[in-house]
Amino acid sequence: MEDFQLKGSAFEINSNKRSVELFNGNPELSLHGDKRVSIESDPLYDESDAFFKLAIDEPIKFLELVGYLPHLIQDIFFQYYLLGRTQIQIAKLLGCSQTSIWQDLRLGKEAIGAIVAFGDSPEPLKHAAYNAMLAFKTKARQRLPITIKEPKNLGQFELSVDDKTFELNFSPATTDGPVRSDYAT
Amino acid sequence: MLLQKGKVSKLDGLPWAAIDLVSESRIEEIIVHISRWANSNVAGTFQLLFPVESRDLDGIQLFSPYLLVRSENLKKLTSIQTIYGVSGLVKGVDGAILEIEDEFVQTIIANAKLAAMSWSHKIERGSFVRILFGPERMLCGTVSGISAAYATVSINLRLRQVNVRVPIRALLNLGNVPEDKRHYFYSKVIL
Repeated sequence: MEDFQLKGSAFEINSNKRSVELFNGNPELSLHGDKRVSIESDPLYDESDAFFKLAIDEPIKFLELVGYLPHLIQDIFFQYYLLGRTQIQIAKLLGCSQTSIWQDLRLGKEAIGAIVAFGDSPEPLKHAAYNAMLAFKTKARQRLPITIKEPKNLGQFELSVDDKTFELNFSPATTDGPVRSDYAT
Repeated sequence: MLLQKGKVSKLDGLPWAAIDLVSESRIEEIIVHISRWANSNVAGTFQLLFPVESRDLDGIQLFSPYLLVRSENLKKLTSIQTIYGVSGLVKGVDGAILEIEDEFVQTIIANAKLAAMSWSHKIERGSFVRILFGPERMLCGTVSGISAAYATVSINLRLRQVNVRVPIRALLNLGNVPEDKRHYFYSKVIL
């Protein structure tokens, strides 16, 4: 079972791990097949508040722990937890999909969890997420510099609502934004 | 910010109404909803004032606790209360829409315009800035190029460098941030 969990991409490792957890939790339900069980909607997996608290209460510790992660995942953590940017905004900047941002957030959180629990060299066989982090690779094109031109009405005091680009001046309405509990405000 | 539709000179001197919000959190999202609603439901001219005093990573401060709105007929704005996040228009003790004099609101507008210009004051090549609007909002970087109205901000992510060409007015000058804290993810909590 351990070999089964450690093979493949970070997504495959997490998916397999999730499948095993679901089966161990409720074998009959997990094999029934008539319902999707989404990890995103499972409140037991929402660790957002804990990481926000860490970023606000112990920023030095937060930076230290995030520093162990691959550069792409560091950029995700800094933007998501320190700057409040959405997963879609982060994805466009880093040249990947919103889904992979979500997966990489999970990978980073689990890797940090392993480091916190067992130090910065966790025993490899026991920490699939830490291994997945060590094996993490980015595409060469993701490291290339990019240039972005913003719309010319950005920050304009008077905006016409007839022009759809006016909406770019405002924070996006998206459910993929970081979960900020009352603690963070 | 002043969001508007139609020939705004028709509204000169007309009174405003105050929009009562359910909550100030996600106010920008509510403003987008109101604007879309106005575009579809308000015939003629419309203005919505979002009187921002300051804005940064920790949020937006307003000159007024209310958003202010007007059109040629305030009574035709009552269905604004159907919008997500909006309680309705503020009413007087007689139950009628409370009308706010245009002269008073023009003072708020003037103050909001001055505040908007102050954020990007003294930005020059080499300045450390934060992008306040748009898809790259909240990222910090250094101005590597500047013209009359535009600046190029170089942002050093861990993964790659991003150069953003943006109107200068969309930037917040962070000149007071110490050199060793000038990361693209700068926030006061890590100071």
